[in-house]
Amino acid sequence: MKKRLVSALVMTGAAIMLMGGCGSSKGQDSKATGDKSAADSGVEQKSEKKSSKAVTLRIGLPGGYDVTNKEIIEGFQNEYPDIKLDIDEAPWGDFTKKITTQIAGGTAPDIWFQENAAVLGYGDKGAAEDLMPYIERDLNEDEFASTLFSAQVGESVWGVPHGGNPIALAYNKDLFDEAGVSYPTDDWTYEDMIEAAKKLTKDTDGDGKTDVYGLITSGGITDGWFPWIHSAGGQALDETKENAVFDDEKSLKGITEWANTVNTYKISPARSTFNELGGTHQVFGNGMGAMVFLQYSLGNTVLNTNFPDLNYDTVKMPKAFDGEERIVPNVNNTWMIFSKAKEENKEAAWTFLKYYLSPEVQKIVADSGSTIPVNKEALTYMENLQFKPLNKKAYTEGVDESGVTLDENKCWNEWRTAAQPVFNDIMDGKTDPESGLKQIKKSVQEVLDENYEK
Amino acid sequence: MKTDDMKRIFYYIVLTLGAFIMLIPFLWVLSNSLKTVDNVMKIPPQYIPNPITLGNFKIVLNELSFLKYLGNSFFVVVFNLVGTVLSSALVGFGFAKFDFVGKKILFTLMLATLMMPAQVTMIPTYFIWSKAGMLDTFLPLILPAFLGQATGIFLFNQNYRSMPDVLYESALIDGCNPLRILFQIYMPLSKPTMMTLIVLTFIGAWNNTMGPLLYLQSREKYTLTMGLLTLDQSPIAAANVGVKMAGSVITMAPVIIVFLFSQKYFVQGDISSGVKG
Amino acid sequence: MRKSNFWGLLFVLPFIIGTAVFFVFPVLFSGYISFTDWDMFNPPKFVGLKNWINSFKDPAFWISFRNVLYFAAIFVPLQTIFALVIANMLNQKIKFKGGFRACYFLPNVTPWVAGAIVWKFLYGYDYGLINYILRSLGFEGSYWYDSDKWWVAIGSLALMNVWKGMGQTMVILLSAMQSVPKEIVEAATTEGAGKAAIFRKITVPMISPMVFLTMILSTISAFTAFDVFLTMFDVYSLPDRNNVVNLMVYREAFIYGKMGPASTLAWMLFIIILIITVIQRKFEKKWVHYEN
Repeated sequence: MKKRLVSALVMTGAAIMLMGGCGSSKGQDSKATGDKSAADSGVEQKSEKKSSKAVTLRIGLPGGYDVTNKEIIEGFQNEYPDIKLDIDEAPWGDFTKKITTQIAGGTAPDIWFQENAAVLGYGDKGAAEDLMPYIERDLNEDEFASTLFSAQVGESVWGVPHGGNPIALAYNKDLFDEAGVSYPTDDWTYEDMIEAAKKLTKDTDGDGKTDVYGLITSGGITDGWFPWIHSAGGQALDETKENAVFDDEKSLKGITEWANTVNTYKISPARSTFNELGGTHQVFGNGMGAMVFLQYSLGNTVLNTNFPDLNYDTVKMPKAFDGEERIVPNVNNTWMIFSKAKEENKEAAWTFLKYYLSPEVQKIVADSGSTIPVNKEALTYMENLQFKPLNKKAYTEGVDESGVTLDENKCWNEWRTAAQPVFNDIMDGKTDPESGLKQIKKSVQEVLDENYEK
Repeated sequence: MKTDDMKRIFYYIVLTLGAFIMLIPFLWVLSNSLKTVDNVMKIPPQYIPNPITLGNFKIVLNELSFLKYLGNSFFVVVFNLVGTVLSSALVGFGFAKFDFVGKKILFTLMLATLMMPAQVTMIPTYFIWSKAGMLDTFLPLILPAFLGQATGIFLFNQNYRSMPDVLYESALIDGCNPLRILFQIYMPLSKPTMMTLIVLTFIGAWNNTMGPLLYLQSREKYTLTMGLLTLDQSPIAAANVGVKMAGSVITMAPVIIVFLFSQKYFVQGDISSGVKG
Repeated sequence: MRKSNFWGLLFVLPFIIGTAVFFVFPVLFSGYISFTDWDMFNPPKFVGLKNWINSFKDPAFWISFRNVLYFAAIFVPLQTIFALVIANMLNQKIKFKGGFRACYFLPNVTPWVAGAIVWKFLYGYDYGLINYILRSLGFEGSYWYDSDKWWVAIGSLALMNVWKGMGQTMVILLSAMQSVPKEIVEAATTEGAGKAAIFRKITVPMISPMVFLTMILSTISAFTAFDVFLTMFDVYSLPDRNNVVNLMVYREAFIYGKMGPASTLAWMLFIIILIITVIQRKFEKKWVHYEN
């Protein structure tokens, strides 16, 4: 009878699974397919400069080899055979869910990388190892851009960059040529940018609807309201990162101009428009906008793939309205070492990080085109790579001279999520900048107070 | 006669319109999966791919190991099915035909299992599996199925309740024990319910992302959903929507096929109530 | 129905074990956490009723609760009615039954990621298909899922959920309709009953257990709906007026890393669902017909 067949299946299945289950990994050890347990059999050292103890290092890689080049991992295995890498992968976007569960469940890897803000949060809780002593002991700070310390809070450094992703001003050369406007330069201010955009905005087919926008203003924090707050010298949070600013005169000017590009000057499309089209960079790629603040990764991975014929280049982010400072927002992904890892694993993890920060490996990072390295030698190397945008100094020099985080602190996600909906309303013209900023300051301060226990 | 025909035509129109609405998204996904990379993000969008390419599918199956993931998914799902149907029939029968101490509480508890958001039970459940040393195996994805699943229990419960008790009584008189009564008399009569449960469970298990995400560590063990998530979220693949769509099509195809095959069992009216005479 | 502790408990034994391990323990654990502050790394710190009081005082919570009630109120009736109507049609003498069934079932199988991409395209303000059709008929387009009126935004998502879930409900109801014994229908037809009468007096009562079941399941699924919200709304820019409880739980737990308040919210959702289900079951006695 069917029943018997099913029971047979069940028995076999149960048997298989029980065997599989018992033989497989327990949390920390090598993955199920690994039959070499070289970790504990005391493999002989190859040469003096390698670490002297045989260790299994569990390393978390969000996005697997798509994000961290396989060459890097394999290179490490070859150079340091006593350190066996046990790789724990997860898809990029869901990695947070997984790592949170793992930490709570006590099975976190020894080393992994995440958004810088997340690492700051871990540092605050005591989950990240302070790397300042290691850096002072083993690294020469002159060899690195200032962004090496993106994860520094006070005297502690909670991680080192996996890669950076700064912003620059991208422009469509063909559209500039057609309109007879000269290309942007590193000396441009926000004022220059707005004036040029006015000349570039066109209704080419006379139907009353704009077909080409001079500027594609973004609504998000990274390439939208944060740089614009600073465009007139304003601030989102203060230097301590524990207090909200937002509604001072300078910020007000910056945000007013930001909203003006859409609602008053009409040199930029509405938020719903570019959202529908897949984002500001997609609009730029389709030739519907002459300028945009472009994050580095979107250039090579998206624009170059989807719009290979787009004739564009970049310059540094514009200077403030008064021609003084410029800021280059930079979003890092940061490596961190788990504070509860075993001592020898921490040392092995640091060996991996030193390897990762070495010029040769940093050049591989540069080759990926989706992130910028932090080692100066590699940065120079990167500037000569031939994929668009050609003027990569807009990013490398920009971030070295004026790179800032987006006021990241341990509750970054919480406060920026409180601010974003109101910024959306400001950009859509539903709230005026002044009352909007007041509201934002209040909500953000509430979040900060809750988290910093005033 | 005429009104019947008119009704029929009306039915056809409504059904076709509805079917079209249901299909639009799928057609869009299919169309994108056949496009070359520079056509995918064009504005205005290209509805019919031109040129048509199978390149995306090749990439997904070969370079991106989707074939292996397919196998893993099947493995997990088949065992899941066996476990779910068996345990649901057992437990559903228990609820349907017996009164026992604690029945009301247990039934409410069963309802309750459907009501708790997954995010909350996720972490303690992870604890359990990690202490049992079963991480990076398929066990956390399969074992719970053998311990009863609320929807399945519900289905069988409702199904058995609406079957006459007389069947049970007469079989008892004939000397069968309750287990045999379930398996030899009631279960064969609940084919539509079984098939329904199989299809529903297949979908659920096939599309399950949370479980594989938490419990599978190495890529060789990934199921299709994990492969798709990886594909969707890979910052580099963000550029190639066509490949993502091809991955989606491959992930959806088996479920559709299973559903089509199961259609045979939804045939009308082969239930004789067995009460005659 | 017989009274038998031995057999009854034996049959349900797998479930008792499963529930104890995978449900009761996690739920109790999360209940405990709701009285603590837990950053998932350091041991939980007991804080008594702080999280509960904060949630009650938080207007955002009550708004999210209103939203999920509204979502369910639109979703459950629509899905049930559509599924019933379509299932009934497919139960008639129609060709291409299998094909139709597959079409209606397809959305259920589509991953939410793909579904969201398409629906964003349908719902788009400037370029969306729905507005395109409306405009060509002379109407004005509208914002749908990105509307600043919460009842339009949430309502749009409820429609999407119907699109996705209807297939499953239809399948269940269809199989229930198929289980109506043919002889009874034939006997009634011979006695001169019309199709409508058969539907009302025979089919409906006989499938009422299943209809009721699908209503309960739909309600629960409406309250625990998650993926539709996660894929259509950007969780990093979600205004309070559009939030739902389940999404708040996720945000607190995994984005803010605050398991204490997240557990509290989850429990509040759970209690709400429990109450509603109990109410529904009371109605069951009135409306549902079981063979005895």
